Amino acid sequence: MSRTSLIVIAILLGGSLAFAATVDEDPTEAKVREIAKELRCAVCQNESVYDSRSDLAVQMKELIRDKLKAGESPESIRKYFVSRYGDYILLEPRRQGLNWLIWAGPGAAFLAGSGVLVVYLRRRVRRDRPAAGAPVDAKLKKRLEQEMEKLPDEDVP
Amino acid sequence: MPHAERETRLFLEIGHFAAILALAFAFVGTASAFAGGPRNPAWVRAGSRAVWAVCALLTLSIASLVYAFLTNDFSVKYVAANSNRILPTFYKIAAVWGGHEGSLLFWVWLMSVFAAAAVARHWRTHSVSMPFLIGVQSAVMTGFLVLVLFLSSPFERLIPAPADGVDLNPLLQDPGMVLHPPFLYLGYVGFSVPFAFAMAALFSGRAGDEWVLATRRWTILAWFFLSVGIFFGARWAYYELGWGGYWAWDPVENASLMPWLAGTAFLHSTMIQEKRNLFRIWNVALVILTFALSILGTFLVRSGIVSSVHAFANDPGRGLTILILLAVLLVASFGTLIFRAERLRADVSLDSIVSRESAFLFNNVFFLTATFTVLVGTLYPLAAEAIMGTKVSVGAPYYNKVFVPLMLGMLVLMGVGPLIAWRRASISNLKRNFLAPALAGIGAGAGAAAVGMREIYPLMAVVIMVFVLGTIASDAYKSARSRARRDGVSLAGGLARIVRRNKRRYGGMVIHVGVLLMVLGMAGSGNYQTEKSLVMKPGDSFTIAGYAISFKEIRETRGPNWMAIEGVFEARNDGTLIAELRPQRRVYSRGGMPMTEAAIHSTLTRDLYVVIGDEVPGQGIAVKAYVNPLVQWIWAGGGVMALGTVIVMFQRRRYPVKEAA
Repeated sequence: MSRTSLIVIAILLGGSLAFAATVDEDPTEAKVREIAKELRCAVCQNESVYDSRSDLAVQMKELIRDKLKAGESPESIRKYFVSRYGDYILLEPRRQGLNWLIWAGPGAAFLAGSGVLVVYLRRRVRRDRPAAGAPVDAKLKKRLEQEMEKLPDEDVP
Repeated sequence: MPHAERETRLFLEIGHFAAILALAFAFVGTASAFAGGPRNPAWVRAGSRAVWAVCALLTLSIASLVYAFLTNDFSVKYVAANSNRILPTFYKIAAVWGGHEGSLLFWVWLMSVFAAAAVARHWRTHSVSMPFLIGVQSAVMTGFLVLVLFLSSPFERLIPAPADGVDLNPLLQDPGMVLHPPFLYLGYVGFSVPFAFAMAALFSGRAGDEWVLATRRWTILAWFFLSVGIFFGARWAYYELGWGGYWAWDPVENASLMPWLAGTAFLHSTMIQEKRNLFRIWNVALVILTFALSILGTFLVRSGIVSSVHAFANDPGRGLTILILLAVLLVASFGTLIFRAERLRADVSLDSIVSRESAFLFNNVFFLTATFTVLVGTLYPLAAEAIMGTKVSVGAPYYNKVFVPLMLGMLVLMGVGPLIAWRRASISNLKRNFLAPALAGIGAGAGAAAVGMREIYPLMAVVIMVFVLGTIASDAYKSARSRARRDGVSLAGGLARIVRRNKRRYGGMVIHVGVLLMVLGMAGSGNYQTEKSLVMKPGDSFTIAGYAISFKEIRETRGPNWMAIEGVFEARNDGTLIAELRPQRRVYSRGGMPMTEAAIHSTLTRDLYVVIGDEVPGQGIAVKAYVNPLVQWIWAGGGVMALGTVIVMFQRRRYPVKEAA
């Protein structure tokens, strides 16, 4: 806490000495954010580089900023981090190899589920519903006959 | 050792002994209920008494642990690790479920309360299912008690006892986090009742539809608790984690979402069985899946197998035990289902694909696809590492891409499902119910595009939300009007009457409206968030989304067990002061990383969200500011959903008082 206190005092002094200014975000910051949000902080528990406050994440953000200012493209910056840390660093897995399992999986599951459902429904509906124009099915016919028999004769025209 | 202290310490030993006895009784309950079966009422009665005993004994155990926390008994390892003398009393009680060992005991205790309540409620009405109900619940409790007592005992002693404890994890020292785990657990264990009833239906061979009727309220109650738990978790993430969002697709969040998705599917598909006696096997499979995912959720959180900000305990041994319990549960329940499936076949016919029955089934396809997506995304990194030895991350950017289309599909069905006719929908039925809302939705979408909305997903969300709202409103209006005419009352009176007469239907509609509000908030904050990260000194100011924010000063402040630096910011809109924001960075007395306390100013249209970060030497302090549109609608939507659920729960039970012999 003593270190923090000192810094607080330093900031307080600095603040009173410096004249008030309107500050704005560094124009590269939005790009830094965009890249840092898609990279995993390698030493944290499931946090992006952008959200993490760890030293490594802070350094990585610095590095992204420097590289952007040096004119590197976001794509080459991403490649740089992948070459250093492996695919693990990407929060959005690349569409390649076994990763297709999770990219195609949900769509395939949905199509398979809907497909099975439609086939099942059509088959059940066809089975359960007498075909148009066909005579009533045997079970119903028998039942009808039974009911007819119960009726008094004179009521049957 | 002073006499009084010895007595306080003794109480925990009594609690420990009570838990051991509870294990014995849970085992006895399992054995006697299954051995007795429906033909030996005396054995079943013994089983029911065992359930009561387990509940009473575990209540004593939990009480002894609470007492150990309140009396600062740091000779208990669990207390020493999760509390200290200056921890506020409120959090001392919360610490009972704040750590791994205590939370598992808490889990079993809640389960025992549910088991006892289920036995009490259904003892007279469901005597045929009763032995299996008791047996299944006791078996699950036996498994978890073994885990608690042999692998993660909260009763372990620390000798010599330290003078003071470490502290409760500072992340957990927040009212939202105090409520989040108990509600999640209530949801998880709540699904054990419908699960046990379904199993009872299979075992007893009387797999008719009464278990669905009997568990209707239990299911809604469990779903309600789980929803509330997830809701508090999201709020906690938003207010406490300080990253400007509420849902990070973290594995532990996913763990709670999976049973919720499967449970929602189950909740909907049981309605078909209730109304039309269809899809009985399917419903049993769904409830098994839901309960298994609840246990998987416990496993994911407690094993530390997934990398997460919330994984508070890492112990592969416990993880393995939960995994074995899960495997036993799955094999036993699906095995029984396969052997007994023949008895579940229904002799009811299906008339058309365009019907409410199939709308419900498509709901299931969507919800199960969503469950599958979350499951695969959560487990894929483990599989990839195990099979190929490569480490892969599946994070928020992935889920955001995959999940949004699924959610839009679910929303469309939410509009169609409740209004489409049972059995077979005619063209005129479709036209009458859907033409106007669909036109309204398309009109709203065109309007949004005309005022400059260009992004495809938000546009689709507008169309669909207006459509769904239109279906709900027109249905409520038509029914209320005809009821009002028939009874000679006002339209509002008519609305009150239809809601009172069919609480389930209209409570469900209220829940759907809550979902719409939530989606509105998610669409707004997800697509139109503005953020800035800056380095500032006191006196500096900046603008974000039209708000001028000036940094007034920085100061120190302190709480019972933390110290903090606090920034004071003023937010102005067109020169008028609208809020003073005071974000903090807290350092807790137990040490560790400083914690962020975000300062948030909320209105219906947006949240102003400011956090302060680390000092940048010589330049000032890092500040992050966000303007999050419509976030408050998410919380409001949650409230409306809760209201709808309460309305639904007031529906009278519909099963006959005596189970047919």
